[in-house]
Amino acid sequence: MNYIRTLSITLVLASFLLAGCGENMFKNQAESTSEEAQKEDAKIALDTGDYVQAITILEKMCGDTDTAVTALTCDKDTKVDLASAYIAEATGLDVLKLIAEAESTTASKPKTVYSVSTSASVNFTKISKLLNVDKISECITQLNAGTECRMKTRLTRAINILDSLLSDTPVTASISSEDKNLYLQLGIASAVDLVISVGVVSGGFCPSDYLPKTIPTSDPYNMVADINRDLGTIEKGIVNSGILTNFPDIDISNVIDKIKDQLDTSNDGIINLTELTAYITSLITTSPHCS
Amino acid sequence: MDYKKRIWIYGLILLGLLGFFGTVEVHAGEFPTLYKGIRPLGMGNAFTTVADDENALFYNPAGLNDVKGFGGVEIINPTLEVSQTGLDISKDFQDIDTDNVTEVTDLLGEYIGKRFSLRTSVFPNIIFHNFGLGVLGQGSVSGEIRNRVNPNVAVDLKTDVGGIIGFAHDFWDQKLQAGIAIKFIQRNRFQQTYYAIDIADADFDPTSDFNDNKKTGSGITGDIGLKFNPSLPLRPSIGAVLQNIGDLDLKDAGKIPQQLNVGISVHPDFWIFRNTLALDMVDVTKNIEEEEDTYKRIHMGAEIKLPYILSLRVGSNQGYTTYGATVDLWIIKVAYAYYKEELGVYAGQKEDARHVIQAAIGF
Repeated sequence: MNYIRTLSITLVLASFLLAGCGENMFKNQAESTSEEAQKEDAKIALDTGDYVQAITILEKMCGDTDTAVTALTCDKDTKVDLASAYIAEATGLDVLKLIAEAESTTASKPKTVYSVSTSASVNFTKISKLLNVDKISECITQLNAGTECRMKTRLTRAINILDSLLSDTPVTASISSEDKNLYLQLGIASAVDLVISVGVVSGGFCPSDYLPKTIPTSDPYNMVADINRDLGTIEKGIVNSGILTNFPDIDISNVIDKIKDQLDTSNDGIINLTELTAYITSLITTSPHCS
Repeated sequence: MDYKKRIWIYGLILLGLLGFFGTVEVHAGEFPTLYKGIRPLGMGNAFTTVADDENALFYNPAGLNDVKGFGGVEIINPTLEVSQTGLDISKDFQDIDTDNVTEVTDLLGEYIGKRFSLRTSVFPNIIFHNFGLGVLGQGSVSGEIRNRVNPNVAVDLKTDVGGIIGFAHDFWDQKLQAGIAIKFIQRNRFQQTYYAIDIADADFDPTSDFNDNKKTGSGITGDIGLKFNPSLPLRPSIGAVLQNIGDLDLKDAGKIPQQLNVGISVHPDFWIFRNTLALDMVDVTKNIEEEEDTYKRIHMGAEIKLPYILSLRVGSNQGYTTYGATVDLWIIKVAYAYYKEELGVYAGQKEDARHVIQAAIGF
């Protein structure tokens, strides 16, 4: 029975050798194209911060930016993931960065204190300092060239998706935690878009203080329309999240609410170019504010 | 953000990451099982036709027929399982300045999407030829933060207490073996997903949530197992076990579905070494519908037993390498296993590495 002994030794050694493989041995064979598998791949991409990959996967499942929000073919959870990916890819913002930005202190960017100020410029820069000035400039360049501003397109898409998922008039007592969180996300995304829109119409932000560069005399890219939409979704998001009444320590929500009040001085929920110009004038005393 | 709230937020995230809030159950992910023995885990969890010790009560009661005479008693055998991620973040937190928000958020960012888990169990038992009895006490905890853009913390806490009894019999001089096991389990479970807005709430109190939302349930079910052992070189064995007949329904605390597992093994012994090579496929009928992938159901393992003292194991659990060892000093037995569990939808999508250690006192 020598062959039995030889076979035995071979089998046992082979099994121990094969076990040394590091990767999953079935990785290239496993079923990775199912809807559930794709959803999980997208979630993993969101976890690791690979937002481009997340958008690629999720747009295949839901529909791309040419598909109307009402015609997206995926479920709510997947739409929420898509909105998250759009927001993060457009602005580079995520919650950990928000916390770090709020708490960090450097010579050029003093610690951000999220308390509401009577100064419009102080409140405005609490949001604008979270953004990448170069991305705003790139957006303006794209618009001047007659192409879409990718940042604005994606952020608008995210806001529209979240807006479509959330009721305009929810029953307050029955809003789930998940939906409250989505309302808050809608409010914050809208506030960020509002600030970006102000930046676009003003020719960008000054890198030294994150305030608008110029006081606009026209609105060639119709940022007033975006700002009016944002005023509505800020109100919807912040109010229905309950954050103003139930969470007094979340000062960023109060800051957003104050920016809205300081912009919409007539308090009618609509602004025009005159009100926008007046608001930007309150932010900067001279135009151009920087070279 | 005031200091107190910041402490709460970081504390919750840290505790979630360290697994102090519970085990997470996601739609696809970890296969639902009641108990995983350390010896099977070291060999890829391929144990349907290998079970010849106390693990037979969970893997295939027909294996009780392979126990010779008095198989042994384990008076106390605590097992501790901890995820590699839990070990890593514990170490990393010691290396940073926890008052520096940037360092803390950078560190937390590295662990988003990774699961932190902890499991402890004791299973005192007594095993004879054709009979086995054991009492199970088990607690498991894990947590996971997902989506760095819009984070949520999913937590799940589980405790199981119960008993299991098994019987076996053989036919045609052990060419066919059959066994049955009956198990009763009572479970307490707490599952919750927290969003940023929950954590920011001034009234946020996870302890109160636990007391209010904990679910309790108990259930009884059985397993039926078979093994066929033809008289051939290398002593092959072919087996099947129907686990959790009719489902182990724990009412509000969840359910462990019925599943049919099959396996095959051979014993290429030589010289003083007693060896086993095994291959299993679990839930062959795909009764666990949310688990679509066939490769997640495949387990392979090998064991080398040196006389008396040392056993070495290696395997492949759902495609991931496993290894383990046992040092048997008669009254005291110490065992270790390392394995990875698939948390994703398909094999290779999302791994979770775990270390398991057990010390058993018995004879």
